[in-house]
Amino acid sequence: MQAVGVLDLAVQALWVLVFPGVFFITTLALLWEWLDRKFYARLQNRVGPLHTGWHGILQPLMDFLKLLGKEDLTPAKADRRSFAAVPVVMLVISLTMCMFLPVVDMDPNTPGIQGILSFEGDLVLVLFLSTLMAIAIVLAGHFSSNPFGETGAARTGMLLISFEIPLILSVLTPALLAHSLRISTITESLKQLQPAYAWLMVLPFVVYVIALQAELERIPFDVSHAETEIVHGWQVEYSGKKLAIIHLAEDIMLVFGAGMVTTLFLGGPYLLEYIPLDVFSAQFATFMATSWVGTVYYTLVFVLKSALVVLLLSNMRTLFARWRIDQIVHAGWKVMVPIALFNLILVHVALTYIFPVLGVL
Amino acid sequence: MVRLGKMEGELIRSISKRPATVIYPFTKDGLNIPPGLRARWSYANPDMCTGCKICERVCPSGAIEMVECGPDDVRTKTGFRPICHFDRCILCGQCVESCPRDVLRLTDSFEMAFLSREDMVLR
Amino acid sequence: MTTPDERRVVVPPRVSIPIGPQHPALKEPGMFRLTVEGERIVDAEVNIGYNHRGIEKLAESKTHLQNLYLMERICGICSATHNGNYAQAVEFAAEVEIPERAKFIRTLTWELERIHSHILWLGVAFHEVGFDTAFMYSWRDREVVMDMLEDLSGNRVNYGMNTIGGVRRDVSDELRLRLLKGLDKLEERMEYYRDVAIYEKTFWDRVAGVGLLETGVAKRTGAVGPTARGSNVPVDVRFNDPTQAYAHIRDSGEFEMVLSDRCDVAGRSIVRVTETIESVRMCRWLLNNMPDGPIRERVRPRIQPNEVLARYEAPRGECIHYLVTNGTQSPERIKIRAPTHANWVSMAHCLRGGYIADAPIVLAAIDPCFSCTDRVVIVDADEHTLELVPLDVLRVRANRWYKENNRSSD
Ligand code: SF4
Ligand code: SF4
Repeated sequence: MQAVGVLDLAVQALWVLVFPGVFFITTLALLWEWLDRKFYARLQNRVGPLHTGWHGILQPLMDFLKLLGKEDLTPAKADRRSFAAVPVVMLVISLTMCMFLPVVDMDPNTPGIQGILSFEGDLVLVLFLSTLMAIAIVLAGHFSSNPFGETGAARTGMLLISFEIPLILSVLTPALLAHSLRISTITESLKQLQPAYAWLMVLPFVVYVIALQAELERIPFDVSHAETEIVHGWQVEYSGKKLAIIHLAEDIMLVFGAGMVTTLFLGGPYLLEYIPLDVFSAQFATFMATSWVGTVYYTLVFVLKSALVVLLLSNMRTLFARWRIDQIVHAGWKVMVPIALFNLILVHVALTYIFPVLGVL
Repeated sequence: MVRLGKMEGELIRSISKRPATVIYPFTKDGLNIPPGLRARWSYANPDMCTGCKICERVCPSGAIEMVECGPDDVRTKTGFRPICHFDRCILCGQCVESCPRDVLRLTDSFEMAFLSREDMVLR
Repeated sequence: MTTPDERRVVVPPRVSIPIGPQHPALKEPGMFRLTVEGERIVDAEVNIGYNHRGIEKLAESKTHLQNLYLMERICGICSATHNGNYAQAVEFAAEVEIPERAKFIRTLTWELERIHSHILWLGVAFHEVGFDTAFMYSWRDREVVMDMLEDLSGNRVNYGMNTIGGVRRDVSDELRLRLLKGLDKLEERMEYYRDVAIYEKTFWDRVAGVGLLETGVAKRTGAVGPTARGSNVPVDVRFNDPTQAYAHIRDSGEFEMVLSDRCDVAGRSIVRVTETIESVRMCRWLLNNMPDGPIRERVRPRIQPNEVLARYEAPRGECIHYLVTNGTQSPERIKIRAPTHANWVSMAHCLRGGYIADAPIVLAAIDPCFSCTDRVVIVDADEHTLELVPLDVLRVRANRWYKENNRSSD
């Protein structure tokens, strides 16, 4: 009994720390940064990272290690402890959020693919955590007690208010379709829906991707960094280890964001299951859930789909200039929120009136 | 006329294009070094030099100094020859132009990094 | 009459954000103190002088020929401007007429430089609003004109094309063909920027209606160059008071002054981009109509006593060289009024009432060049005084200031 418990604990620890936990996610984060930078550079007719590893694939890692070794300064006016706490808090929050991503099946007894953490209502918790992340950023700017940092923090706050709402509203659509607030159940039941439902997912997908871009503070929503205006805003006073951790946390947020799009809108780690053949039925799922083939297969599909999302996000980053904060708030409240609300109404109407009439269900 | 994402076409085209970056120290292709580049100073034609000191006088940055000819130098008429303190040279080419005997040149070797100031005295 | 102390207005606590002296939005040191309420700028104070180098004084101790290269180094971007304009000033003072072909080549260098400067500005403007893709593209395309200039003059930045009495290098036939090819490429790319890139909505939103400079204000504050032309003020020395080959260019009737009545940063962008295309066409015209003949005239090194004013439309606006000669090889006095200097006043006007987010693009919109401009003049706007401060007085003041504001405590 005792031995089993210890073994169990060891396996759990392995999951959390190595795969699909901290190590896997960190690797993926650095990989996504590379992909993002490389694609960004190629779109701009440049070469991007080149010399460290194959086509510069190790460059993000090198940058991280280099930053770790740099001098770590704390401004005299800053509140020392809170200033130092913010990067850690950001890293922890972002890692925790990634624990909810269903990459491989962690619990074969329950149908669907679970992340390391999974329970009824975890979607709400994840959304809450992502808001918490933004608040950590606001605090980071505030604690550095620098006019640039404070302006950056204020802008982050505005960005958050404007784009958190469309983000949450767009997430509601898959939840409504799946009648659940559990991430794994949503993915599982979306798989079983008819293709007609895909049309309902288009609009929230677009809204979510745009809001995600804002959440990740990337162009055109990078007002809170805005290098030429407020010198990297809330990050301005961070250096050395703290900056390295902040960058890592941001990359992990990218993993989470791309993973969320994959999970909620692109069908998660399922791919072959969408082919309507008998082979890919319930037995297939059980087989995949219990053998190592499933681990490889689910991971691959997940990584591939997320990579596509990352490419999409990089393309957005390349295509636009930085909007001014008032224009962003304007876009958020006057365009994004109405679209998200309209979409919700559309989904409701479709589900209760149109689809039953058409006989889709 | 004004709309979002106007440049997408150009972006997509850029992916398949060769990058504009020249990976310089590894390759020099694409640097487009023109024939008339004004780079490293050289005392190219010592046989012709008369030691007239015109180059020293015109040099705007005082880079040229006239020194007495050493044992292995070509002896000029006045016994002086120019050397260039390359750390001061602004590569204007005025000395080349003003020299009456076509002695000096600005060559096209453009990699001009030196380890010490002594190395920068070009003879 | 009230004393300055009584006149002071008590302002509510506002945040004052410094832009500069070191700031990523600025290519050179300059300081702009913005007083903001939230995101709005309520006051802007321009504070320059970080790049004073004493070039005018130094020039008095050098010969005219040497000064050419000194002038060239006033500014890295308009090197041909100062170099050519100084050469022109000395020629005016010596009262010599330079050969036609030399005029054409000098003008060609100037126009190529305008192309490079405007593309550089375009890239900077894109960068200021975070449009890094267009920034990368435009600077990539700028390489074409940089290579052309290098091919023409032997150096990428300090061309040193002009000498007193003409130019130093000729344009051979092969070079002419290479230049024409490069111009075709540039024209195609610039048309892309004119028609597509600046109309990208996110960029357009950042420049349209930003940094308004009404025609009247532009005239009153004496704006020059594209800043003025973007506000529909027709000032362009190339057309108003042409020198060198510009007279031929104007007489050919194929070219027109580029104006925009938008009065905002967008207007200035349009003016600059269109002007670049116009410059490309001018270069082509110059290459095709270049007369044969010598490229330089011997001018004796001693210039007779004279007092002249040379004007030239630099990429940023009108550049004036005021030269007094005294019969020796060196100038008695040279005074340079660079275009940026004329644009400061109007810029402070543009900044007020805008957003902080707009400050970099508004600053960039006049294409400021600090090293051209910096002089030790302290202008106290509150008391409307203007004083020229010699160095020793400055030093005494600095010492006193440091004694009063002890810094070592924190
Ligand atoms: S290099 Fe030319 S100018 Fe200089 S001393 Fe010799 S001959 Fe005279
Ligand atoms: S190139 Fe110019 S600066 Fe250099 S040595 Fe010759 S005259 Fe002097």
